[in-house]
Amino acid sequence: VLLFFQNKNGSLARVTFDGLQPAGEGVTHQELADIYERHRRALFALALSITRCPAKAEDAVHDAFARLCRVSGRVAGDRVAYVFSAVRNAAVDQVRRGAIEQDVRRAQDVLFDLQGIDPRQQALDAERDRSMAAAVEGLPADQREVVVLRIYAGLRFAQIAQITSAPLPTVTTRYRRAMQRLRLKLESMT
Amino acid sequence: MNEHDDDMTDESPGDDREFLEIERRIAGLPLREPSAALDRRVMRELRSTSWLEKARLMGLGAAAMLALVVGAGAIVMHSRVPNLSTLPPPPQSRPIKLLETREKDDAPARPLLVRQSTSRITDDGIIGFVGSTPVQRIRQQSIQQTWVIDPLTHKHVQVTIPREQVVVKPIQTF
Repeated sequence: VLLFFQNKNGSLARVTFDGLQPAGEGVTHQELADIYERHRRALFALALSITRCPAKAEDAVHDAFARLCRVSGRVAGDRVAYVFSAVRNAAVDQVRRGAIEQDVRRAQDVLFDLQGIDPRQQALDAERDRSMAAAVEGLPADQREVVVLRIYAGLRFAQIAQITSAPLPTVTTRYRRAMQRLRLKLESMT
Repeated sequence: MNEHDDDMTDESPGDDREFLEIERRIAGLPLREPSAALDRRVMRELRSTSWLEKARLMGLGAAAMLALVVGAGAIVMHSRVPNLSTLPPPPQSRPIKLLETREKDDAPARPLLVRQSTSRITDDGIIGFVGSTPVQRIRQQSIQQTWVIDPLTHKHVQVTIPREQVVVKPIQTF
């Protein structure tokens, strides 16, 4: 029989035969390294979608991992979501500091490296990719964030809800609206 | 329009195939890569702190080893067969030396003195006037009794010394 109750810090604790143990364990540095290796592009893309500045996005990712390494607390929920959440918070901190120029934040070719579009593909497809990239860049920030987390990080909506601190229906609605908007864009191109 | 108007709480917002093509196309876009410098920065953080973690674990291991050594040493010392050559010699039994009482018997017994004092204070009140100042007399009477007892024969001599002290003092008038 396991009894759960809530700690002062909000994390769940369970009573076992060995006494009181927190339900979550700390994230080891090896786990952090693994998560970084697996999600480095998506982590960077998340920070980019918020800061709109590659240098600041890198600073945000670095700051987040530096904090995660220093913190010896325990993680009660999903660890991948926890790391993404830390990067998101660090990126939001960068924006709040006001260190990012407004014109940089309005840039439209931030998330994607349009030079990397395969030159061998059909000219029409290349143009379509460029338009689609611009459409993703032009999404509202909350919708773009969900798209990045869903498509490039491959996270579940429950994880995205945890990262963005938004209710699950809100997250799915943001995603659906983003997809509808992008589909309209795609249809207009064809 | 409320963001919560779509009541979708499952993992697929609508039909999976509905956005399949658009999702595939977005996923195929060339996402900007983080620089190698970021990788180095993050790995440096992870390595430096993992070194601290290792040091902490090594410290804990060393403490555990020390505790193990101390505990084992205590057990060994406790259960070791005593080396007779290193043990101190056992205490030698000595004959009890009886007190010689004869000398004391020859010495003259010292008398025992018992003394008791009792006293009382009597206020005689105003006994007269010196000029216009009333004068009060206070009498202190005491008896000092002393017994000198011979401890051998238990004979005793009692000495009683009565004393009386009279104090006359003026009384402040208002």
